[in-house]
Amino acid sequence: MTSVAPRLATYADLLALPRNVVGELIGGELHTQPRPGGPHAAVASLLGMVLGNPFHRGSGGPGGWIILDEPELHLGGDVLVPDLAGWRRARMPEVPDTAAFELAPDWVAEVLSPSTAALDRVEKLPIYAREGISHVWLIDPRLQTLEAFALAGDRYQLLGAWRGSESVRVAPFEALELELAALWAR
Amino acid sequence: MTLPARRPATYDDIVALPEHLVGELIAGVLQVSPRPAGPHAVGASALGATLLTRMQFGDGGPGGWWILDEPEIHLDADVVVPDIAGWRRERLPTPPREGVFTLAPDWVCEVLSPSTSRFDRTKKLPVYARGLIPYLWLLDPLNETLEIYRLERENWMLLATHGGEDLVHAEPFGMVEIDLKRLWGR
Repeated sequence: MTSVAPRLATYADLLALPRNVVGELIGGELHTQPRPGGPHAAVASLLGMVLGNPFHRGSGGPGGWIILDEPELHLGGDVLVPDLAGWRRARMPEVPDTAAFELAPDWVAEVLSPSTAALDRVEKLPIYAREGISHVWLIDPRLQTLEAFALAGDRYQLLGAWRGSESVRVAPFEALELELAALWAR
Repeated sequence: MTLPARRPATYDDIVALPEHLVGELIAGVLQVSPRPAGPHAVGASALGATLLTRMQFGDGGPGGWWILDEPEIHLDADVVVPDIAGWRRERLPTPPREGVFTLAPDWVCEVLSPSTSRFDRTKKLPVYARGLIPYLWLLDPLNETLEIYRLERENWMLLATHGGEDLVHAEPFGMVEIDLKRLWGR
């Protein structure tokens, strides 16, 4: 559920939230969601596992990335928490010792749920474009689809959409043949 | 429902379907969908009526287009039925009598529903790109979003995603104001 504060919200409002709630601040509005439920959490965790070894740890893959679950991003006055984000180590050599990230990631993944899909597409995607985040994945666990976008100029180009049990190579992680079926395992 | 036929499906399979089903054929695979219901029908009808009035009849708008519900369009060997499609009259002076279109439209809109959105995003968008259709809209009545895509070098560029109660001016109908809440039946 998204709730809209009557005045411009600040980071203090976000800090005051109970721990079981994820808060985001977009254009001075506080958006809150309960922590993700079953299918959403499962897909986010599985994707983190599938990408973590080859790209974060460099085990069975090229490495060169930092991939984190639900990092709090502070980007141009907005506070966003994507389900997963990745930074190329060329830009961020190691995980900083701070609670929040001010360096925009190179990739984010949002797992869509009925309560967040509109926020993800309408509000967050334009901010990711504004911040120059070069790749965005949108994953819908109910439909079992992956949509991938790449920044071209100041807009996202749809690289494609895949479903079910397809095996795909999708930028920026095309070094991996991604078995989509692995994401839908329960 | 996708029927992975043992032999490639043909147009005869579409013709043989009962009236209450919509058949489409992509890469030799027959896709059968029920006729739309509920929020899908409300959204498609409201958007179709707005564009028909402004863009076909020229009432409160410039006219110059054909706006048609569920036309059957043959693009190479594929047969697709978008929820709404539009042709500029300079390209299509009169719609064909037979009810089958072989000229690609200038704009298509798919109204997403839980049963069709996987197919629309993963299979139909590439067909529309190959058909060089310049504009594509995706209307999602359940999430209350409207995505606007423009074809650039055979890639779909996401121009904007509107949501909630936005008043929208979107290509190629930028002169028409669309009150999104009407599309959600409010």
